[in-house]
Amino acid sequence: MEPSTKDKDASVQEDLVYRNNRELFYSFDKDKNCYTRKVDYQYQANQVIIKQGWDVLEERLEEIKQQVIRGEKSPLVYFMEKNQMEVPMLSGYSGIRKWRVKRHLKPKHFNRLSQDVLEKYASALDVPVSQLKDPDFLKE
Amino acid sequence: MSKLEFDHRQAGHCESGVTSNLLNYHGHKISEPVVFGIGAGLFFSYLPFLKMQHAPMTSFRVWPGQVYDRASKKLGVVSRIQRFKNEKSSMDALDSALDSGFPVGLQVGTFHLPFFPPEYRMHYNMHNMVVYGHENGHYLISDTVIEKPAKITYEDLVRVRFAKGPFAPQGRMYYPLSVPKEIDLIPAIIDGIKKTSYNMVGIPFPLVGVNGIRYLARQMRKWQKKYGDQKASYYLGQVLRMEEEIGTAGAGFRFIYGAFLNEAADILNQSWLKEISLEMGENANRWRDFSYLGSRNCKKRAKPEESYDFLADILLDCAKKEEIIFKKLSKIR
Repeated sequence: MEPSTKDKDASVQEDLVYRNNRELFYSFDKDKNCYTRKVDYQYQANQVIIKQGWDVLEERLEEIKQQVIRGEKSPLVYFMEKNQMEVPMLSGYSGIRKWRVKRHLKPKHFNRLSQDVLEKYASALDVPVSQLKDPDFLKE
Repeated sequence: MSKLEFDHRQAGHCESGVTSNLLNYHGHKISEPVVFGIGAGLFFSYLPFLKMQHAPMTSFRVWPGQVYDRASKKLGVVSRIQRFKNEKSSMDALDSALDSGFPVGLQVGTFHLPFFPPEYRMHYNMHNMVVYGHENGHYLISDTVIEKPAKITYEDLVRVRFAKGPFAPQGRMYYPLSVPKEIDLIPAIIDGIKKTSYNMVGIPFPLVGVNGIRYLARQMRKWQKKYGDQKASYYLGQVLRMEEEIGTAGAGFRFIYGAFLNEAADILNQSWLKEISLEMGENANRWRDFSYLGSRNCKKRAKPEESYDFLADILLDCAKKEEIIFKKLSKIR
């Protein structure tokens, strides 16, 4: 019932989602009673849970995209979520007060924003102003 | 322009790795596990009222910065630790430290770190790395997560040093100013073990230490009913990510702590610690089972024996093992 260390190791090299960087891992060998270190990609089982985190984010983003298309939320919400930010953090990066950021999440207020404010958001969210105002998915 | 002869060595955990590498630069070969043990880095806390990425916060370690602060103090190292309000003055201070021949540890946010693997691109503000030089407008970085030394521009470095959000680093930089010629590890190690034992079994508060593990186990049994399949699975995933993801060296620091006890047994010449390091290894493997079966649950491949109840039972088992281990360790002298 319990997975042996052996079959965990066997699964390490197949179906890896992420192969960008090798890290250092410690482990304990039960048979030899000793600690070992090795440099390798993240374990396959752990890659699954890392991917789960990204999948959930992706789903939430898709949902917000639809809300922006329906005009319920401003594109700012979409880019904020894409950058994994929430209001306090976006306020920190853009230097715009929290209560104003909250207002700008509504299309009504967002559409009246000056170039100046838009530029602050654009640089905080790493996206050109033109995209921020009019994201590609609205044009389709 | 200056470039120091700094050994880039990968480590399991960023802060203890940085501390070990900095001490190594100043001529003391103290391994990462020993630094982690002296810094009393191991912990457990489950704080459901603090949400991180929309899920309750679980942590397997102490507050960021504590490992360096504690380890350096206990080893008699005199350090300079600074935080800044102003971006330019933080960079000037970094330049002048580098030019006087000190490699510098920095606390940074990982979201805008250009050399970081994309799958780890999260707003994690408690990451640590070493700057060991600057040339042609680039800073030379030794990041213990990354295989090779890296480079970063002035602008990018400012951005990660002044990352916003929870635990914002505020430009925090730290480095040993003077390191004693002879370091006596023995009292530092005993002290570190006592501190960790207290943290794990001595604090009368239900959300931390061994009690915290039990609390999490109790909560976990209710998740499915309370939140539904999807959210429960996401919450579980978040616990596993904190346990196994980046910088824990595996099993929420339990492997690295066991390796520390193993080394400590030789340094202190107390063979009973060897026994306990083996118990810690078994315990760490149990945590590994938890994350392995848990990840199958997240993948929706769960068999009945991988249900939340079953996972919670593994947690209780770990809690019991750790209670025994740390009660014994608290008697160290």
